[in-house]
Amino acid sequence: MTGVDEAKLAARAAEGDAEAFGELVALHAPMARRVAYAVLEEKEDADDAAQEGFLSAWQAIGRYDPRRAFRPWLMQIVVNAAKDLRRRRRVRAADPLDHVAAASRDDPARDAGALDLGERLKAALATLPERQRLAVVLFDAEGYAQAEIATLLGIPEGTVKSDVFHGRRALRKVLESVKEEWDE
Amino acid sequence: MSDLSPLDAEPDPELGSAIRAALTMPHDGAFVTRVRARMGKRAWDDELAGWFWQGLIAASLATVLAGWGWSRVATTSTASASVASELLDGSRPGAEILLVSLTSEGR
Repeated sequence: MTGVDEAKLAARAAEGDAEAFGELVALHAPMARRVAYAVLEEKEDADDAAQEGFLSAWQAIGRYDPRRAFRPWLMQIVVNAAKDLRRRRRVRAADPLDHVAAASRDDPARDAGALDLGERLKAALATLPERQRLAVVLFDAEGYAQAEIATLLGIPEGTVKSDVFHGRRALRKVLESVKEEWDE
Repeated sequence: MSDLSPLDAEPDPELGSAIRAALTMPHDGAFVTRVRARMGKRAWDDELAGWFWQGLIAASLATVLAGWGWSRVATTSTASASVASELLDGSRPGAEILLVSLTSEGR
């Protein structure tokens, strides 16, 4: 899917074309689910939030300006939906990742034990503050520019740079540790 | 893996790829199908919600109008009844004169 195609789809969706919006859902679902997962750290919640984000975007499609990029507009709605859900469920009992996060809080690379790389990375992500986690996921994994992330999260660009730097430091430890194990 | 400075604006492809793999969830197709189905349902829900509010406003107006009409009828009949009863039981000042004049008219 090219950027031109996405722009055309977004323009059609902005005119109320449900089929075009459905194609945009298919295009961005993997990313939206990953980002929601990064916020909520629980798969079912992440799917609920991503779905709510898409439905909210569909409801608000009349306010979308087709001259602007669709992806950051959509992702802002998804992130807000995920944060809302996180706030509502904060009182809920133990988070499924909590045990992993607690085990890894002191040194994610050392304490992750027998978990595979994906689980170790998730555990390391869980130790990061939400804003840092989002910044590093949006920047390194999803390819957003730091200026876009700043707009999306409503923070200064310098803060995004700092968050990415600190977030990476923890995650790279995990990567390096796994690579060392693989080399042994 | 590259060692980027905090001011480096370049993404780290290796880390990015590993994070994507860690956070990717299965069954995108089922998720998309569910969202598309809910899009139609939500459009219908919005339509119903619109009708609900319009219906509620119409019902409220009808209730207010009916209440206003009923109160007018009740006030008029009460007023008429009270004047007649006051004349008959003689409690209204000048009721005797009025009754006498009414009864003498027929003679």
